[in-house]
Amino acid sequence: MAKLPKAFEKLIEELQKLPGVGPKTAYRLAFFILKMEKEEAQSLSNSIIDLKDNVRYCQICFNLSDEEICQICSDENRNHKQICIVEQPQDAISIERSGEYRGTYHILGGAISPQEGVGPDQLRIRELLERVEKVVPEEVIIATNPNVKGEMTAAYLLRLLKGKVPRITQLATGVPFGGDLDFADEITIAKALQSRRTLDTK
Amino acid sequence: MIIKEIYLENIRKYSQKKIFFPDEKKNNQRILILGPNGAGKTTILESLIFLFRGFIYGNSPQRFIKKGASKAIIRGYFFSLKSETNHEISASISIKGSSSISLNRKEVKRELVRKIFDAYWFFPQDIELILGGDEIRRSFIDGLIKYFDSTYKKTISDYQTLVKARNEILLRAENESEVYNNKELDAIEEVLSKTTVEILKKRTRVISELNNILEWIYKEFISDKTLRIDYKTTLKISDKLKDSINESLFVSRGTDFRTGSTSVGPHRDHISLIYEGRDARYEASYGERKLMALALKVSGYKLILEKKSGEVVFLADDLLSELDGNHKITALKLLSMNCPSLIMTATEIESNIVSDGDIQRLNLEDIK
Repeated sequence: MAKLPKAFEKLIEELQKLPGVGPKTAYRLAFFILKMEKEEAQSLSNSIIDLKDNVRYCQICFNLSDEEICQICSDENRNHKQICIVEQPQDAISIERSGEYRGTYHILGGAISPQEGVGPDQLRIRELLERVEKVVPEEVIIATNPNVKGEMTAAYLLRLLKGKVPRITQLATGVPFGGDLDFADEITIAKALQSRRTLDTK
Repeated sequence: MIIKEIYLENIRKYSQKKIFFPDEKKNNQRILILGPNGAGKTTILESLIFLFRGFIYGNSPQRFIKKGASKAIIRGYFFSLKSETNHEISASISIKGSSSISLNRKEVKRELVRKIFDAYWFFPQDIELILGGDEIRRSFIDGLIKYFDSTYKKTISDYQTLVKARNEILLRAENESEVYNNKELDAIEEVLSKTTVEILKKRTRVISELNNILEWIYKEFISDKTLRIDYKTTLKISDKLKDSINESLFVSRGTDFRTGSTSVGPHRDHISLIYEGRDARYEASYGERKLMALALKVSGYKLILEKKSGEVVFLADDLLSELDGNHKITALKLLSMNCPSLIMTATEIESNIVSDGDIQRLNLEDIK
């Protein structure tokens, strides 16, 4: 097979660094970009640089932000006495999408995983404690992922925050809404049973 | 289940081979596969295990796949007696180990196949259940639970992750007093205790259920002696299970810091077989121990049948070797009375002992 032009090969190589992109997808994307109008390609490349130059982390909650303080943290209408702790910015986005939550966030930047060298010092836990001391929240919601790493992180946070915050809660795990019990996997059902709640029978 | 036909492509010595199973009775099959050594009897059992369970028994893909081929295929045609439907199951595996499975020509997750059909077995290596160390019996019990409790696999893998996490923190600590003052370790042990509770409860329950079957089976089919499983945890436990586990882990931090590993917990627990009140490892003759291992496996099979909705075939490889005449008859009786769906292998000479007219023969030499 004839060799591809150097610029083409380079792009394929770069694209493959993206998650979920293998050689075939990279090849297809590179061809697509080749066929794009120059302005479109330019805009794509600019927005990548722009992302790196202009998106910052909020000084308070460490969510992605245009400014020093993110929209949520600077919103007067939100409850600043309520902090929801999540692993990643995308977790906060998911919770925001629900429209159910009117408090603020704290993004840890990961979860405890000693095997991968991630401990409390690698997460924004010191910053969380400083924030808790300053704000004295009424409630902290621990919303780490429902897996081992998330559970270890939650257990660690609970130990740190006990006595410092009057109400510490954890996001419930259970059967997805709108689905049938029939289709829920066994682990989800087991967890849902463990965290079942008492209904008002008065 | 009724196994109608299996087709093997590039498996061991077979390039392409169709094997038709006797199925005229329209009922659960009890089949004895006959053939001289090297005829491919075990290959058929291994292929069924691969088809239902997705792993290669005691072998690497390189040895399972025919020399020179890069990919092997196993296809089976089955009839489910519970749903009264036909199923075609096809599995492929490449030399690199990647595999796929399809049910009625649609690619599916293996769990879905196991909900309909599954395989359970007794291979000559299972004598290690008696002779081997605790780890063999632990993995037997854990494996058994996984047959009918689909959440247990995740519990075990979470447990392993947590133990590794704990060990990592212990290895990183600089001195012993530091490990007793480590909040990260507190958090890990908290979650570890919760997971441990789940494992202990499930193991204890299954072992007690298994003992009920095992004691009965042993008395009924083998001898009037008692055989039972004994489970001793390495943790100091009390009524407050989770708290006592947590405490036990905390106390062992010092020792564990020095060795860099977790010395207590389900991964170190003792599971032994007790024969007439004594460790079976040191009692009885080889033949008797083989019967004990068989009784244990058959008890596990009966428990699976009680708890699982799908149909499970019992595969017994080379059952009759290393057993003397009487023991051979006992082993056959044990299997044929307790395993509704059964496939055994034997050499021609050994097979003379099989008198049960209910057992159909499949001679590998006849189907070249």
